[in-house]
Amino acid sequence: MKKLALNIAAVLLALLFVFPLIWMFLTSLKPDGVNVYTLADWVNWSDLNTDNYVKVIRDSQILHWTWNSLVIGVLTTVISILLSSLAAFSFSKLPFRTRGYSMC
Amino acid sequence: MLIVSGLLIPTEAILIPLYETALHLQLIDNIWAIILPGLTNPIGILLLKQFMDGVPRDYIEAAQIDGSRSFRLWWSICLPLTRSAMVSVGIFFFILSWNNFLWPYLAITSEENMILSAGLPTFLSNNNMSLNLIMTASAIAAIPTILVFILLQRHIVQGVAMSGVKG
Repeated sequence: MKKLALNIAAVLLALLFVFPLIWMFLTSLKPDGVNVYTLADWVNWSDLNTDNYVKVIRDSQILHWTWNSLVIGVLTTVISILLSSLAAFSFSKLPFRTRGYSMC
Repeated sequence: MLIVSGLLIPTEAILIPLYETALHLQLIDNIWAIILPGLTNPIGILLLKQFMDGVPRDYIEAAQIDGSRSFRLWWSICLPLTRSAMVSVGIFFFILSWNNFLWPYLAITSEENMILSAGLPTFLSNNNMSLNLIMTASAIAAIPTILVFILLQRHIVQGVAMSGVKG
């Protein structure tokens, strides 16, 4: 019984977090100008289409931006991991004079 | 102490000096303007240092007796032994970089160099109150992230639990 209550609470919390995502996908599938505010818009699935996706991909450079994000993310991650690892190694294993001040 | 105190400085506080520096280095509107400030992160150093402390002193001494110098100690001993920690920290860094908004928004001026988070607001303007296009763009931006999260769920949850900071 207690486990069931916990499960229900967990599902409700999860729904709370997923709700904006669902709203995002639903709005993106509606035709231009229809914002999903009322309950009727939520349950009316007859006007869903993918025109917005075609329009966004064709008219803007969003795929290019995704590629830029990816390049920057990978470069930042790889270089900073190596640099952080070097710094961590020196702070952890090498003796030098100001070590105690710079890292506890 | 000094390194950890770097955690206390918010990005907003260093925006103007950062912009001046990037301007004088002629890095505005260049992807390196976004990469370079992200390279040093106190959290990464702190976390990896804790993991390096777990590498036994005996390994280091044995390697030193065999004639290794500092770089070799790092490359051949500490790097392989802390690989799992580095994966977690790496995922954390990637999330930080992917979600970063304010500095990329200021540093990039032309459309073709924009990154995803900075490009999303271009779909909203004063005379266009329709939410459909920006929601579509957000969905396109979210789909790869959700896929990667589903694939790497275990590592990401581990990394967030370890560092105690959510991107």
